[in-house]
Amino acid sequence: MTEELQHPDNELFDHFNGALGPERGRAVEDHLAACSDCASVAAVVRRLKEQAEQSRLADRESRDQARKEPDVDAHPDVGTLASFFYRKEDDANNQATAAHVAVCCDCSDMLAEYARADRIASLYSPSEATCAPMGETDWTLIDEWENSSFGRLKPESEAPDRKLLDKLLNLLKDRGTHIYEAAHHALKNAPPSAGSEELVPVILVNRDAEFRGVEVFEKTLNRPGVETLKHPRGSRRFDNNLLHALFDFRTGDQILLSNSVKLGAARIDYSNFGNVRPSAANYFIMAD
Amino acid sequence: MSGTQSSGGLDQSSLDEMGDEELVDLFLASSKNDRSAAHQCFEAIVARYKWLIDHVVRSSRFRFPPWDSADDVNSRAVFKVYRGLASWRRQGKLSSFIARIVTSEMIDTIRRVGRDKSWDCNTGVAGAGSERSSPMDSVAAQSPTPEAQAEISEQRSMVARLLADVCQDWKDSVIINEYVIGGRGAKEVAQKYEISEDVVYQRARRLRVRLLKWLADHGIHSSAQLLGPMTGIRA
Repeated sequence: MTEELQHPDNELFDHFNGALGPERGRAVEDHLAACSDCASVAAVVRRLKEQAEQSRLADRESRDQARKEPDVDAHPDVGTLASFFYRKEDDANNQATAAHVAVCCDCSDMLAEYARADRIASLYSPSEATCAPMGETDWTLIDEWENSSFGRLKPESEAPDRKLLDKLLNLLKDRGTHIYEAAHHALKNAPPSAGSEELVPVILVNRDAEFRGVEVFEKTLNRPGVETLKHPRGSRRFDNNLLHALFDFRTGDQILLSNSVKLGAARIDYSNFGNVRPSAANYFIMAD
Repeated sequence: MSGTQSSGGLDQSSLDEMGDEELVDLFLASSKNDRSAAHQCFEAIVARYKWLIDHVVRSSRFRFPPWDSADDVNSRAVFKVYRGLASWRRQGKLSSFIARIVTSEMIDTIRRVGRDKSWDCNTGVAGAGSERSSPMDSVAAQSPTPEAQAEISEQRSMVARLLADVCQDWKDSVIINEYVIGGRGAKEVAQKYEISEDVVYQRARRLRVRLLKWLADHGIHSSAQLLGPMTGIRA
């Protein structure tokens, strides 16, 4: 007579893993035939195993293909994995990661590395025996970074003004159509440039970033990464106001650079962004 | 000059006697206007933890290729510690904070190197390529119909939601991955993830209970509702 099982518990998992002997295995199968709850759990486990096998085959196929880059976006990035490992409380942001790691062997292996390192760190205590100096190569990256422009603070004119950036972005979002029509109208009515300068619309806003009009300026590219915007009639009306250039370099961030208008012109230097021309640019002057 | 102690710099014995928090505070304060002092503080910090950094990298189960060796990983990890110390919130030990940075750098390297098909991070062998395929793998699978594909996607979404809800932390996820799905023994899982066997069994038990509750809460009362087109059985 088969021993009656009361909900196999972990033996259910062991059974699917082939870790139970024949007699216990039969007892589990008998229980599954009679218990819909355990049968549902068994179905979930079966489904997970099938999906895992399919994923393994798909991963192997993608690695075998020459020059095919694995889908890096399919895995959580390192920062997300670290947050998942180190966070103590249940967090909705980690739920997607939890579901992914439950079926991804690669990411699971990475968590094992965090677990191992965390254990080493918890047991570690600095002592004279473990004291070790830095090598010259350890300083190479630090020196390179500190001596490059990335290690230095931005000049005041480039310091990001988050509030202003948000105001201008909201303006473009809320009044974009109206601004575009006004700009189109202004460019259409502007006299053509005397030289080869490009005519660009500069959006006029008040101190609260409310739209007030469009003024046409001539734009000259002095050298890669540096441009000058000049009022075509040489008007000094905007002198001592800041001209703000809102650039999109396709990095995912909008970059706001500002400089004062002097003698009817303002110079914008974006050469620190790799001399790449921005994919989109909007110009503003904020004046009462 | 890099990493050299300038004359008139900080007193080395004072630095050696400082606690981690005090030393890091001094490093951060010096970083603003006295680079030489900052470097001296950082050297003192690294002197305490260089062994840890080295050990975490070299004892990894993954192997690094000659062109991106453990030494390279170490150097980058030290750089990341240099830049990351301002983020240390003092909620845990400095050793844990450093270990996290080092491991993240290591994983970045493993993933990057892993994309190079001429190197196998698991075996440390160049030109190993992917594991050998079985004859079955070379047989082209029949593509499912669009309807079947839609149902498969729906099933996958449901499973993803289930896993997101029942897994409360990383231990739950890896136990499902390795013990429940992967069929590894509890002892093996415990050793790999630095947890006890008891934890593996306890967590598996709790997962089973949560799983049952999830199924009941979502109105799934039969296995047929889960099997779908993969086994040809429709609800």
